[in-house]
Parts: sequence; structure tokens; C-alpha cells
Amino acid sequence: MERRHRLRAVRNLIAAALLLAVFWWLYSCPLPTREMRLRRSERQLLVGESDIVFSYESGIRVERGSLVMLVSVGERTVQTCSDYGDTRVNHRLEVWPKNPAGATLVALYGEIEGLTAGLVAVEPPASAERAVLTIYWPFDIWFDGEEVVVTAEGERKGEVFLFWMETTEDVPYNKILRLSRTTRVSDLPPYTLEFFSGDGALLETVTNMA
Amino acid sequence: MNAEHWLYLATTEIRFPPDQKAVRRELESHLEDKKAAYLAQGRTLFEAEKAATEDMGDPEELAKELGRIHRPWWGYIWRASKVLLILAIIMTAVELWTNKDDLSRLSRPELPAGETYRTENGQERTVLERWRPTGAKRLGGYRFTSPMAWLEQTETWYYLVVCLRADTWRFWEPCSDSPWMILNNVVSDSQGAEYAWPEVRQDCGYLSCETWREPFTTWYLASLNLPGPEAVPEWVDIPIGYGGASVRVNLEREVLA
Repeated sequence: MERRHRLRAVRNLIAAALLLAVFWWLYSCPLPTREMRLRRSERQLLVGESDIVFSYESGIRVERGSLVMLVSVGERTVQTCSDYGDTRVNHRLEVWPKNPAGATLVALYGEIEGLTAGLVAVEPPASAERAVLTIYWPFDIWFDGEEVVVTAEGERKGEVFLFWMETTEDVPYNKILRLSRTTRVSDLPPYTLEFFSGDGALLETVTNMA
Repeated sequence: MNAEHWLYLATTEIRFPPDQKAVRRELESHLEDKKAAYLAQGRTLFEAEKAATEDMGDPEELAKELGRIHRPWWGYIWRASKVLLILAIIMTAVELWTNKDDLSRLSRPELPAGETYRTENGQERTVLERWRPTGAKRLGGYRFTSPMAWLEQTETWYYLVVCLRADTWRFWEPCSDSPWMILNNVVSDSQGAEYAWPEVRQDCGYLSCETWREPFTTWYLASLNLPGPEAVPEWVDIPIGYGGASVRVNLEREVLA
């Protein structure tokens, strides 16, 4: 009798496991942690191995969860990953080419804390204690007209510097929105990124302007 | 001892109710046989039942032995597995029903089998030559092969279309079906020509890409805009993904038409 129960239980468990695997696949194979989701996306894009250098969780609740940002650095690329709520739909991994000559500036996808865009400078000079980002938004007839120059001081967050760009009287919402939706190096507005040591000496300058 | 009482005592240590019922039925039938035998000898019903229960032995001893044999855990696991199986069937059926439209899109579009075919936007294309390239390459956890390539002509252009497939048994992480897997890179060929998506580079040939996905396979159709049929190379190097690796597709073997 016990043997019969055992056989039936094993048969049922195998059938249930197979069906649940089909269900999981139909449900887009969700994974439980943000790091697992990042790693899977990296493997799917053939990115190669990387280290997570920055993580950020927004204080604002969106769709049953917080907006979570991760930045990872590989040999040739920098990945920015954002997900929130239903991560089957709201999971994005952007791959940025790494600047071989110095720090790399990448944008975090999505508006963080309301009308704010986040940018991260990875692999800054080791002795850098201050970083300053200056963005030169050119005159743009299609969006919001005027030319705007904004400077932001970076916050040191472990191995990276984090910059916040906020909507102000001088910086219209449209510019911040576009910046927070940037997914490619070529779409970043012209910028200059400067790193300084503790005694104020300029260590490195990175720019995308000719 | 009364038969009912004897049966109750003998099966009281079996904790899994269906087993308890089955054992009780079996013991009851033995008791009935013995009782019938004593009745046939001319004993009264009371005497026959008493003698039959005495013959069956001490019910408490038997209960301990039966309790030891019939451990309840497999029974409970069997019960739980039945509930789990029913739940799994319902969940999968509901999800299949809600995904039925998406599933119908999983089948891959027709690759050109004849001399002319029509694209999704109604454009007619003529296939001039077809190849079945050889070789395979493993990148990451994916096996890349090129099952087919062909040269086609539209009204104004010639295209070399290379079909690539990335296979994996890991159904939960098929290779990305983003066209940027190909478009992000510059494709080169044996004649030294280069092809790129205009957003990536503009000083070379035009490259476009279509993708689609099946449960274990991701398909890529890379179209290279050739100046003419004489520009068909012997091989094409197609970089894939963001890791710098590429797949070489040899076009020199097995010309099909």
C-alpha cells in the first residue's frame, strides 16, 4: 500500500512539475531577484561577465513595487538595468559601450523620484573625490527651444559617481524626460565630465563634444 | 469481544484514513469468514463472533504492528500531490487560454522556398540563388547555425539575406530577439565590404535585421544591401550581441538553386 502511494505521489509530482514549468514559461519565466534578472538579460544579449557597481532603489512606489536600478560593468560594456512592479513587462537592460580611455557616463532609464533624471559615471579615477558634470543642451526647435547649460555635482556612491538632473525654472521638463529615456551613447546631450582630487586638482576630463 | 470493537482497536494506530479503511475492510472479511465457519459448527451468533475475534489475536498488538507498517507520510504526500496536480492543470489551462494569441505568433514566417515570394508589406522579391551554409558556433549558452542564405532582388536593390538561428535547451532564457543583437555591430565579408545600420555607421553598405522567437530558438534574418549579384562574398562575418563575438557564414557550399 505504501509502495502504491509512493508511486502515485511521485507520478503526480512529476506531472505537476512539468505543468508548472509550462505555466512558468507561459508566464514569461519570472525570476525572483533583480540580480538574477540582470544576469539573465546579460546572458541573452551575450554581454559577457560583469560586476555590479551600483544599485539604487527609488523611494517612490510604482505599480506594486519600487523602481530599482542596477549598473554593472563588464570588459567592454556598461549595463544599466531598471525594473519595477511586474518585471515581466517593466524590466529593461541597456548596454552602453565602455569608454576605453577613462570614465563612462551612462543614463539610468526612467524618471526617478518624480521629475529627476539620474546619470552615473563608472570607473572614475581612483583618487577622484569630486566630480562635476556639465550638460550643454543645444537649441532644439522640435522640443523646447532654448539652449540650456546645467552643472551638477556628483555624489560618490562606492565605485561610481551619481548625478541628479532636476527640472527647474531653467531646465524644462521635456529635457529631463528625454534624458531619462536615453538608451544610447549617441543620444546623450553634449556633456563634459570632470574629476578632481581632494586638493582640487583636475584628474580627468571626459567629453562627447568634438 | 464484539467484532466492531475488535476492528476499531486493531486499526486505531493506522493514521492515514484511506489505509485505515482498506485494512479494516480486509480484517472484517477475515472475521466474517471465521464467524461463518463457527456458525456452521452450530454455535450461536454471539459465540461465533467471540471465538472469531479470539482467533484473530490481540487487537492492540496487531494495531501496533499495523501502525508501524502503514506510515502515513507517503499517503499524505500522495494526497497533497493530487491537489498540486489539479492546481497545476488549472493554472496552465488558464494561462494557455489567455496566451493563445501570443502562442499563435510563435510559428516562424515562411522562408522563401520558391523563386519569388512576397514580404509582409506586400513587396515582391525574386530569389536568384540560395545556399545552405555549413558550420556552427557556440556563443554563451547558445548554438548558432545558419540554415539558409539567399540572394534576392527587388525592383531596385539586391539583398544577400543570411538566416541565423540561436538554439538553447534553456527555455527560460532564449537568446535576445532584439534586432540590435545584429544592428549594433558592423558586418564584414570576404570581399572587404562592410555593412551597418545607418544609425551605427553611414559610410558603408546598408544592413537591416528581422528577428523572431520560438520556445528554444531565436531567429535572425540579416539583410545586406549588395551593389549587384557579382558582389556575393564567399563568407560573411556577423558579429552578434555586445560581447564582440561573431559567427562566420560560409556561402561557398551547397548552392541550392
